Amino acid sequence: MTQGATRISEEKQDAQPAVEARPTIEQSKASSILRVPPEPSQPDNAWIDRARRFYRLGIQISSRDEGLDPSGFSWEGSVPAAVTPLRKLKPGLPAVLIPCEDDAPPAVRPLPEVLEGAIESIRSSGHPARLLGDLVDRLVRRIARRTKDNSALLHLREVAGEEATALIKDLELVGEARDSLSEDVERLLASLSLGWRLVGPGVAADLIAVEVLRQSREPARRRLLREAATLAEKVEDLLRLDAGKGDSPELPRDLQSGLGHVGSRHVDAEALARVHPDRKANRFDPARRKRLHKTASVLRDWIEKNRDGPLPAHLVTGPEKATAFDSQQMEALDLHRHSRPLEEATELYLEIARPVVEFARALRIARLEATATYRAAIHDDAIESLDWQAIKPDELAVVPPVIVLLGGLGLDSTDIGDLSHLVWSGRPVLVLATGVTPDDEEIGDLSRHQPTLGALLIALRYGWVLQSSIARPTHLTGGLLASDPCRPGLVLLASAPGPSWAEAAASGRAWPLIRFRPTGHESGESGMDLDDNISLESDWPKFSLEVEYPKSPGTLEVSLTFADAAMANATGREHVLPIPPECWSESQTPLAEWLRHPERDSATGPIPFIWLADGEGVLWRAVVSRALALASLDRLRAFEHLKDLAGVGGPNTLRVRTQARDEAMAEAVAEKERLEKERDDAVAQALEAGARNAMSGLAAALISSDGVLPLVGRAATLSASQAKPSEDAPAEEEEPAGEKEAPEEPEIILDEPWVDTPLCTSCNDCFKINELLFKYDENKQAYLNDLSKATYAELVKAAEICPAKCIHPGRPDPDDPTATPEMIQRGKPL
Amino acid sequence: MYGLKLDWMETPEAPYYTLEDYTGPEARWCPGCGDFAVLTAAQRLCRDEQLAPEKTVFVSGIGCSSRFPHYMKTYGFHGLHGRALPVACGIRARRPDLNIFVATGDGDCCSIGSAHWIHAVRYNMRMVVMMFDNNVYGLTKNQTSPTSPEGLRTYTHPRGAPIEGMDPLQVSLAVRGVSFIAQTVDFNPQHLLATLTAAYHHPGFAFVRILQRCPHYTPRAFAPLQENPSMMSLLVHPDGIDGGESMTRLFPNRIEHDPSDLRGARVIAEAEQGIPVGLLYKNDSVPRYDHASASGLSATREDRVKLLEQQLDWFRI
Ligand SMILES: Cc1ncc(C[n+]2csc(CCOP(=O)(O)OP(=O)(O)O)c2C)c(N)n1
Ligand code: SF4
Repeated sequence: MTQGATRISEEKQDAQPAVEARPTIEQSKASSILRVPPEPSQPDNAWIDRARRFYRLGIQISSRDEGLDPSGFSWEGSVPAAVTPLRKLKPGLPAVLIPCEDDAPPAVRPLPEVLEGAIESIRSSGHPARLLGDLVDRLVRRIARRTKDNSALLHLREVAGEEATALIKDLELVGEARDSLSEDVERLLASLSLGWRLVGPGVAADLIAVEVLRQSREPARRRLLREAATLAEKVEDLLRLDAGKGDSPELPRDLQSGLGHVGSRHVDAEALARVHPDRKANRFDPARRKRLHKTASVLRDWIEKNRDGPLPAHLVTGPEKATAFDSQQMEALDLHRHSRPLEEATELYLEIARPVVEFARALRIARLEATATYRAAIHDDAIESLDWQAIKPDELAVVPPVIVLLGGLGLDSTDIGDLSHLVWSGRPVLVLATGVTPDDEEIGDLSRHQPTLGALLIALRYGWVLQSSIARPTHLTGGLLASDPCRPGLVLLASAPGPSWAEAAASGRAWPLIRFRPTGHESGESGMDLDDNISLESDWPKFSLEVEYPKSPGTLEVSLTFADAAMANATGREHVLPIPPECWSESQTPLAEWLRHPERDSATGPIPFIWLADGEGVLWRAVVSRALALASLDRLRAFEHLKDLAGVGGPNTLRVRTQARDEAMAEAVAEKERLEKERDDAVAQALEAGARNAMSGLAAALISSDGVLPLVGRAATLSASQAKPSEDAPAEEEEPAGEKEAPEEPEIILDEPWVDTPLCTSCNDCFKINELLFKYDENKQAYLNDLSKATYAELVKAAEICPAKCIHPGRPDPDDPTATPEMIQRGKPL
Repeated sequence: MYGLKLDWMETPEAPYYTLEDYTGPEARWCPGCGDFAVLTAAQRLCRDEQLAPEKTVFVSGIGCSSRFPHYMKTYGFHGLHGRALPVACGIRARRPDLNIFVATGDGDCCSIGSAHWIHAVRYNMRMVVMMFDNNVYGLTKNQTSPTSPEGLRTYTHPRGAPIEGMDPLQVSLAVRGVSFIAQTVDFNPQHLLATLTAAYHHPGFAFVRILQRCPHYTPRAFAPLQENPSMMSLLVHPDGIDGGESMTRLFPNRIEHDPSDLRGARVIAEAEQGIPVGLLYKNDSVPRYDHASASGLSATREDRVKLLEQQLDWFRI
C-alpha cells in the first residue's frame, strides 16, 4: 500500500502565482496541498468548553444549537482528511472479467494489470511503446469513469478503443508522438480478447452476480458437455449393436464382401455365422434396452440445451424490488417475483435441480454401460435414489443458478426466518443483498452501519459469505468466481449511496471485506479471509499526509477510522464538531489513539478528534461525539473479532501466537544446545581420526616413490582441501578466469546500412542530405526510415558528416549507379 | 453538498507533455555543433520528468550556447554576457516553485562571469547549470577563452595560447559550499541525459561541465576523445550516474569513485588518470541560500501588516 503525498487538487498552477506562492514546493509540478493553520497564542476558553460539551452530549447539542460551527468553516467540499489518500490507492478501478476460453478457467484481473501486461507484450515484440506506457494510467482512469457511470457490463476492447481515441484527441498530440501512440494503441487493442468484460463500481450488482456465476460454472459445464457427448455416442453404439442383431441372416454375406477377396481367404464368414449362438436370443433384455434409450435421450437433451448460449439463471426478488434486468435484456434469465423471495427460492431450487439430477443419473448409467459394468441388482436402486444432495460438485455446478435479490436492511423477522431456513436446507441458492448501507435521511443513526447479516450467516456455519463492496470490483468478482456451487451463499454488497461511500466504508472498518467458507475448518483453515482489507495488521489504515505547517512542510499521520468513514455521508456529520485553532489543546487526542487511551472513560480524560479538510485544503480538528467514538470502538472490536476468526492477529490470536512462539523458542534453544554438543563431539572424533589418518598418509607418502599423496580416508581428504594449494597442484586451476586472454572478437561488418540510434546527437545534418531517408524517433534520435528513397552515395556522405559517427552505410547494392569504386572506397572505413 | 461527492476519487488529469511541447523554433547553430545534442537532452529531460513548460525557465548569458533559451518552448531569459548566474539566482530567490536551468559558455561563465560563478557555487541555490565548454569564444569568432588549452591558435593568439587553460572542475571543487559537480560529453547522448537528470534531482546548485564540440573553431579539441575513448575515465559508483548499457559500452576505462568523497574528487579532477566523465562530487546536506531568501513567501499582505504592527506596538507609550 502506498502511503503518499496527498493533494486536494492537482490543477495546473498559474504561470505567475501571487506572492502567496508556497515556498516549500520546489522544482516540481505540484499545486495546493493540505495546510495546518497556525495556532493563535490566545486560547479561546469558550470554545474549549464547547468542544468538551459537544464530546459529551454530541447530537443533542448539534440538533439544538444552530450556529454551532466555527466561523471560517464551511461544510461545502469538506472531507475527512484520512479518506483523501484513498484516491491514490485507486481501489475503485474496474476489474476485467475474462471468460472461460478454451480450457482456461474464467478469471478476474484488475484493469491496470491487464493493460500493463498487454503493453509488456507489445514491448517484447520490439516496440518501445513509451508514450502508451506513460499514458496507461490515464487510459485506466478514463475507462474507470465509463464503468462508474454505466450499469451494463461493457466490452473492454470497445471501451478501450473509444477512450484511447478520445485521449489522443484531448492531449492534442501532434507529429511523431501522435503517430507512434496511435500505432501502439492498435497493437494494444488487438491483444485484448473480444469477450473480456469490464466490471466497475457502476455496474448493477445483480448483473455481475448472474454473469460471474454463469462464468464460474462454465468449466464444469464444458467438461460435462464433452463427457456427455462421448457417453451418448457409446450408448447409441450399444443400441445400434442391439438393433443390428435382428437382421443377422445377412451378416456372413456382408462380412465376406467387407473383407474382400483376399481377406475372405483367411476368414470363413459362413463358418463364423454357424458357430455363433442364436443371435436373436442374444439381444438386450427389454429393461436394459429401455434404460439405454432413456439414457441416450436424457444425455442428448441436455447436450442440446447446453451446447449454445449461456447457462440459464433464475432471479427471485420481492414484488417491488427494481432489478437491472427491468431495463436490460439478458439472455436465458427468468425473473420470479414473490412476496417471500427466500422461501420461493428454496422451493424453486429443487425444481430447477430436477433435470440436472436426471442428467446425473443418465451420466452414471452411461459410464457403467460404457464399461459393461452395470449390474441391475446393485445399480438400479442406487441410481434411482440419487438426489441433488448426492450428486457431485461438478454436476451441481451445472444447475442453473438461483439468485435471490434482497434489499438488505429491509429484512424483517419473516425474512430472517426464511434465510436461516434456506441456509439449513443446504440448497445452493445465492442471496444477494445490495444497498445495505445507510441513506442520507437517517441522520445520526449509527446502528445502520452494522453489516450484521454476514455475521449471522457465519454463525450458522453452513453457507459461504462474501461481504464485499462495489468499490472493490476485483474482490466482488473474484469472490463470486471462487464461490462454492454446492452451498448456499450470501453476498452482502455495500453500494448506495455510491462508490466513494462504499470505499470509505470498506477501508474504515465500517464494512470490512470478508470471504468466508464454511468448509475451511475441515481442512484445518479458518475459512475466513480478510486479505483485501487495507492495513490489516493495524487497528485502522494509517496514512502519512504531506501537509504544510505554518512554518515548514511536514507530514501528518492520520488514521482512517470508522468515524471518518461515517463522516462520508450525512449520518456521521451530526456527530462531529469542527473546532477553531484557538481551542486546540493537548487534551484533544486523535480518535485512533483515544480508543487505546487508558484514561479514555475518565471525566477529565482526553477528547477524541478527527481531521477534516475543508474545500480550501485547510485542516480542522473536529471533535467526535462520545456516541460516535463508542461506535468506532465497537467497529474496532468487531474487526478484531473477525481477525481472531481469520487467525490474523486479533487479540486472541496474538495471545496464542505469543505463547506458541515462547514454546517454540524454548524448544529451539534446547535443540540448538543438543546440536552444538553433537557437533563438538563429532569434531573431536574427526580430529582424532584425521590425525590418525594423516599419520598413516604421511607414512604412505614417504614410502611411495612418486610423492603423490594417496587417498586415505575422508578426514584426510577434507584437511587436504582446506590447506593452501601446494606448488605441485595443477597450474590451470589456479589462474583466475579473468586473466585469460579473451578470444578476439571477429569484427562484424554488416551488409545492411544502419544507424546506431542511441549515439545520435540530433544535429539534423544527415537530414540535409536526404530528408526522406532519415527520421527522428520519439527521443529525437535518427533512424533509417526509407531505404528505397536513398542512394549509396547519400548514405556515405551522411556517414562522413555525421558528427556522432553513428551512420554506417553498409555494403552497396550492386545495381546502385552511385556505388562507384570511389564511393565504395570512401564508404569502407565507415 | 456535504460529504464525499461521487467523483471525489477521480484525479483531475494533468496535461501530458511530449517533446514537441518543449521544442521551440529550429536551432541555428553550425552543422555538427555539440549544442544540438544538449538541446535534445534538455528537451528529453523535461519530457521524462513531465515538467510543466510554464513552470520551467532557461536562463543564459551571451554566446552561441547562450542562444539556448530561444529554442526551448518554456520561459527563458537571454541575459547579459557573464550574468546568467546572477539572474538565475535572483529568480530562485523568490520563485521556489520554478524549475531553473542555466545555459552558459566557458567564456560566459569562466571569464567575464567568473566572480558570479564562484559565488553562485557558494550560495548553493537549487538549479541546473549546463556549462558548455568548447574551449573558445564561438559567437565572437574564435578568441582564446579561459579554458583554451596552451598552444591553441585563435584570433587573439595567432601563435597559440601562451599559458595553460583553467580547469572549471578544480575551481568549482575548491569553493566552500560546492554540492554537485559532474562532467559529461555532448557526443554521448545517454550519458549527457543521465547527468542532466541527476543534476535536476539534486537539491542544490548542480554544476555540469559539458565538453562540447565546436566543429568550426576547435574541431580537434575533443575529436581525440571521440576517436579514442580510452583517454577518458568513466566514474562509476552506485550513487553516481547510471546511463545504462548503451552509454557505458563507449568507455573502456572505469574508475570507482564515491561521489561523497571531496578529496577524491579533487584528485580525479586533476585528470592524471584520464579525463573524468561522471559525477565527481555530490552532497545533499550543504546549506542553501534560497532557503533563507524564500522565507516569508507564504505570508499574505495582511499577515505582514499585522507583524509590522506587532513590532511597532513595542514602542507604544
Ligand atoms: C560585456 C560584454 N563583453 C563582451 C561581449 C562579446 N562577447 C559576446 S559572446 C562572447 C564570448 C562567448 O563565448 P562562450 O561563453 O564560450 O560561448 P560560445 O559562443 O563559445 O558558446 C563575448 C566575449 C559582450 N557581448 N558583452
Ligand atoms: S548526422 Fe548523425 S548525429 Fe546528426 S542527426 Fe544525423 S545521425 Fe544524428
